[in-house]
Amino acid sequence: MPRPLLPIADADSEPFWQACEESRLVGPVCTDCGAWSWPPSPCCRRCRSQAQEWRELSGFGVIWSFARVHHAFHPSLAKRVPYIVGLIDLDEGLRMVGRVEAGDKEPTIGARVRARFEEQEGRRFPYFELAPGRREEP
Amino acid sequence: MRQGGGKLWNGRYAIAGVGETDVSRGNRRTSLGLAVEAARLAVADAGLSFDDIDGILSHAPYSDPEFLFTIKLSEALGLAPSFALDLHLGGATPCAAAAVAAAAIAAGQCETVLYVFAETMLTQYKERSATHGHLRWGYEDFEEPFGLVEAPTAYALAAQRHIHEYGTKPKQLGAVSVSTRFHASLNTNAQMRKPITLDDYFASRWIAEPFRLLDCSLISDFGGAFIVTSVDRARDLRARPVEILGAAQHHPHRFVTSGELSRCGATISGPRAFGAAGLSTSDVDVAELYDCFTYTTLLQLEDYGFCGKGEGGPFVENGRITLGGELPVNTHGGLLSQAHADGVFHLTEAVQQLRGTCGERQVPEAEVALVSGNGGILATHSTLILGRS
Repeated sequence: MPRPLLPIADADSEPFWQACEESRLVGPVCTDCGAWSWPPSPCCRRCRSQAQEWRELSGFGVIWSFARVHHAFHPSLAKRVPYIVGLIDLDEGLRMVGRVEAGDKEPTIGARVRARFEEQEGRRFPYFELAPGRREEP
Repeated sequence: MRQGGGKLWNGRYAIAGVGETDVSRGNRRTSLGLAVEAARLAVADAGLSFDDIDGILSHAPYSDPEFLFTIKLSEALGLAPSFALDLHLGGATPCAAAAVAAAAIAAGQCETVLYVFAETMLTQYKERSATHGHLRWGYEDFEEPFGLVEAPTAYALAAQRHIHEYGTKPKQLGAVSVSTRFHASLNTNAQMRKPITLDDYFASRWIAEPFRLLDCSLISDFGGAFIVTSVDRARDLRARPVEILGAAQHHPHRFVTSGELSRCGATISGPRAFGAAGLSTSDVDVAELYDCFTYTTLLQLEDYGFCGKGEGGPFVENGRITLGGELPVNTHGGLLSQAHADGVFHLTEAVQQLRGTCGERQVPEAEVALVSGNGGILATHSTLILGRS
């Protein structure tokens, strides 16, 4: 059996995984220039400052892209396929990978989503569900 | 951002020899064994002896990563080189290695450099990774728990974005698959040689929409090698030298959420490499473009400027990228149908095209070839422009 698909927290990412256990979505923001970084990184990508703090995210965003996955690339996904993976543009301005729960609806690029939390292998992880509204792109 | 240029290359360094092992299944060989075999083929092809090799570039196989692999390979070949690097940019490595080799020679570090890469992803990955571990992806913690596992899903997200922005059609991705398979059918050293039609493409199962099985590259065992030396030295050797006319890299991002995904590093490395060569896309007779997915081929045709941005879909239709068409692309069958050789066979194929030794799949009078490499999720990119001496 391959290793489980579980993250290993390190000094850069630990606050994110801790918040997930409390069903809170947080991200690192630079206290010098205000830019969000994702994934967590030892310095701000825009100004290279190492002064960062973790802030709560609204959990609201839009689908930037998505893919419906049919092939189980890991044995633990066999029960789950087909499922949808998205790249989610959060309202605060950072982009995350997230599973999208669309029910019997078709996800579309620009569709509004909001974060929820679910349990997998005894831990809590965010996913995104469709929310009312959409963002029309130029 | 500042971007360096390089006129250094033009006509001073050459590929003097190439080696490709067979890609057939079922021959139980190690990655080191395939690397040794490819190295021997390249040295023999150049008409050199191993005593002439004083530089070596390689990197450990993904399926069985280990410490100092390049030096292990060097030792296995009986070498004690004066220049060596474990060089690793994913699929962008081979094209980058040709430029690094030329730079090392220009800097007086060595005279003749051997690049080798070999893999046993097809036959040995599972058993070796179970006992010896595997090369960690790096950002799996922020992908895998959310269902993003392995490259096809990540590239599917990229292709979907391109479809959204430019209206690219499934049949256009299919056209890349059909054309590349046709080329593989002309290559005796290819894993998949049975020609396919667009109907076969649409009948293949979904992997991660918009990708079907026939959008995805193969899993392979292979060894590939080439030798770089000065043009002056190459002229005295057995094979017709193929000159390095231009080389450039561009690595726009690492994590899948940081990239634009509907464009790639070729937008920067392409003009720089063409600029160094004093050439343009209209000079290219054959293009060997890193094709981990059908989408990657289509994307690069746009980003190198063979067509306008967003016009890659219509460009690949009607046989334009097939032998006999305006721009033959991936004449060996590529990663999609020949073998997933991580880009090294794109380079060795380009060299053979420019020598005019490709037989049935030869592009007549090929004088200039564009070769590209791409690694990660459109994270690394390298460009090489080669010319017939």
